[in-house]
Amino acid sequence: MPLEEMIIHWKEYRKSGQVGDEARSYDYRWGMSIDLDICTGCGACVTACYAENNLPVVGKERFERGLAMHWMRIEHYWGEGEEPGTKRAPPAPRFPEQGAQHIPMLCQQCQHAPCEPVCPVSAAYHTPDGLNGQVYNRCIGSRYCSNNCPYKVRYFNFYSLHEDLQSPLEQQLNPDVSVRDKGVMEKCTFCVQRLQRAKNTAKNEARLVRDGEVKTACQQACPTQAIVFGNLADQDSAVARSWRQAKMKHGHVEHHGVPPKPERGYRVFEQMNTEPSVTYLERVRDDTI
Amino acid sequence: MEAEIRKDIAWAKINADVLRSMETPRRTYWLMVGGCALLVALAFFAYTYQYRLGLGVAGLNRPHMWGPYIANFIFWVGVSHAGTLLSAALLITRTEWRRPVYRSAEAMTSCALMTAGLFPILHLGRVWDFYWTFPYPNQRELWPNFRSPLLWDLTAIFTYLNCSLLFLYYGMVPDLAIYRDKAIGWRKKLYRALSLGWTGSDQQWRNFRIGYLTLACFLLPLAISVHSVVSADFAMANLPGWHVTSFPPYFVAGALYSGCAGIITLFILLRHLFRFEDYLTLPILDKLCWITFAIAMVWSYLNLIEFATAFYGGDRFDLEVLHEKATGPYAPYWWFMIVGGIGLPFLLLARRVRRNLAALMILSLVMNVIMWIERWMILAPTLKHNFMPYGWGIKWPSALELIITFGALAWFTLLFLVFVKIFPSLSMYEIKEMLHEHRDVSDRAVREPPPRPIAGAAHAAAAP
Amino acid sequence: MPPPRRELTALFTDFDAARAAIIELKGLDLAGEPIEKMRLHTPIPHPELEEVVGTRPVSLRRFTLLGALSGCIGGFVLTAVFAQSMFTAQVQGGKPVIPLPANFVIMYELTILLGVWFTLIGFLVGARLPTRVHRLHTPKVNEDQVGLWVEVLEPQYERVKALFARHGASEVLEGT
Repeated sequence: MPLEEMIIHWKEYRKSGQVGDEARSYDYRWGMSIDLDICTGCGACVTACYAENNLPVVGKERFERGLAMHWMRIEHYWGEGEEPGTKRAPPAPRFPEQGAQHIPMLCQQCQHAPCEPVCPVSAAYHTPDGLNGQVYNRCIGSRYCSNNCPYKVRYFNFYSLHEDLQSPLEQQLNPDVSVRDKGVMEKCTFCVQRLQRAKNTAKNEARLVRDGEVKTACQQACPTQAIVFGNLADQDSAVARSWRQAKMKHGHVEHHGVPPKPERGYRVFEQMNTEPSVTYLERVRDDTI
Repeated sequence: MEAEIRKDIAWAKINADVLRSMETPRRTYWLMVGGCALLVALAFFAYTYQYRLGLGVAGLNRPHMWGPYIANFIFWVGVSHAGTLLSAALLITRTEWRRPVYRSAEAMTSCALMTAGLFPILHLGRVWDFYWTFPYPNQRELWPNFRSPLLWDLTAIFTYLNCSLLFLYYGMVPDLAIYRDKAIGWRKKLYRALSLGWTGSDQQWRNFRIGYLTLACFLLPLAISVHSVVSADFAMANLPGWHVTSFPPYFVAGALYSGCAGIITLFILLRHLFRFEDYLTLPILDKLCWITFAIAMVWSYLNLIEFATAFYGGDRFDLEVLHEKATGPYAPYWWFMIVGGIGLPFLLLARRVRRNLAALMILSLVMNVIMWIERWMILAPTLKHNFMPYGWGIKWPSALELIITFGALAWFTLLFLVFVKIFPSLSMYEIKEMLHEHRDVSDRAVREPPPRPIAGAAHAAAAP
Repeated sequence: MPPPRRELTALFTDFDAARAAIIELKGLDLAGEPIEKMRLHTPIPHPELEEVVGTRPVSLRRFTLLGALSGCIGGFVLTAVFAQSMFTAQVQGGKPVIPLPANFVIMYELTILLGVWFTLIGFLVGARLPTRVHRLHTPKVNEDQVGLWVEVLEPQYERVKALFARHGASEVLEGT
């Protein structure tokens, strides 16, 4: 009966995507932890993401126009007065050789993603795994999701950039990932094609995916292993331990003026209540010791 | 107090004057229509370029995912609101001077909505799939997402277009019967179909009156809710400068402001084009100017209160966006909008300005330019200076977007010009009611010579 | 065999004359056969004339109520039942499956939409439109004349015609 279905759906999905909810608990809840102290800003993760996910290289002119398609980007932040070329008289930096802080910024796979409710056709939705999914086939390109993303990690195909690939460059494309045409929004998926393959293998063997069995492309390429990825629902996974150590909580939590904690862990724009799945471990600065 | 229209106009003369507007158009009219059609064709070809190559050719980028197309959409929905205000709200308050003006104001509403409705479609990345936003049952059991403010937009605009077209048509039925009686050729067939056999019987009039008031009572909350829903596109987003609770009334006030200016423009145009000086009189224009001034003051207040809340709130992001608006790259346009939008209505306080048609024409057009810039200034600074510094970026309106903007203006003008030549742009029966309300015992019909039949197709069917 | 019926339309320039004519016509003693079919045709609504002719109740507002209620309920059914939970649940993080604030907006708009549509239908039903224009219609009733259409029996014909002439009818149209 449709009414019964309606009530079942309502009960089941009432608080979607959490672990430990009485209504539903999930086997997988993908999460990531990035240690900014170890990150060197080399950009290997960016390159790996380009290779794995068939990202188009747009060229210098289009990059400057704001049309870049880097799902993972390295952001550089200088402290007050450290930015090269600033006119402000800087307080003399105590440790200028430390340079800028690098933050690899990718889709935070928010549990309360602001991009999901605003898509008119439900192309952005929430998977039971805790991922923020983007369905290319459903996207009609209204671009509201990107406006609502505080991290600006959603990228729109303003041109059919795959047409720039001249033979034999199309051989480099990853066959597991679709090539997006113009008019479609895309973003980091936590390498969902790799997750899907790992889940299928595990299911064939009647088990769950083990910790370390699946790596995202960025995690795989990082020379210093700054990126830790895994299943937060598995209490013994590396990423769950990293979150616990940083005293990061996940689940349906309201943040009411959480006092600063001595642990290094933080999430970007936490006050927006987006509940990101990516924790950053702050760089240890020499001037805080 | 001056009478709005002369009391001694013969009723048959009203019919004759309005029927005269149906004559075969003169050269000026054809030049205007031709010019508009040319601009529309140009905009259409510009659009096909975008369709083939993608939205990048419109200059959009990250973070400026929305640009002048959305500004156009909001602008035209806004322009449409004043027609409903004039027609429905002033009907409910039984304001007499609305009667000569409301038909053209309602026509403006419908034409503006038919222009606005183009933009949510042509700004899409995959335009050919736009119908997925409609809730239709399909084999894949996919439905649109009603949580999205864009869907609320769709519902509201569809409802508003539908209801304002029906309201316009409903009010025209008695006038279409007059046309039917006098027309020949293709026009006669058209009006006979549209007037539904209206003969002015008492039963018809009684149902008509009750239905008309009921429709007006529906249309008024609709008009207010539509632009509030359109403002929800911004207010429901989390961006600084957009996530503001005062957006719904701010948008409605801005809509009425630009719509009233639009009514003044069309009033002067029609008065000149069809020589309707007896009906579209200066005292009525005077009152329209007063309403425009009042609305402009409401808009100015809501504008200033938005800045005040950002200023006093202390939210870092809101403050930076406000700072960006005032001192960033868009600042000259923003200041022009603020100073012009708040200051220009004060010119309407001078009686000399209110009675000078040329001055009012220019003033109303400038006001609408300012309101277009206002819509653009809602979009651009917030998108430029959003939360994430690595998502900051600048965008100026591109040539393609400007061509399509002017094409939309031409489309609106074309629709309106076609309307006034096919349908009565003055409501004959309502003007007669206005005269009847204020009649002296002695004044009555002065017989006029019967008007000429309306020119139609080459062949003429037998008149009744 | 019942006597044949004939139609007359009288045109009056003056509303007060029309009113007096109607009152006298209603009070006319026509050998037990009062005139039943009487209709006004006017360029604008005249409540003061209509009440003399006699009014029938207008049921338009019931249509409006029906339309508004179906729009309200239909809006909820469309959003909550069809789109959000019945066939597939649209799962989005942070917002419940049936978000009532969002659904209220759709319910509000559809209340108005269906209310307007049903009002229009109620008008067409009440006014009995669309219909053929009747034989004795003249454009003058849309200009400035009040038309009074009556259907009378053959014997009464001359008396009614004389009555119209007494009240200053500018024109009398006759039909069979």
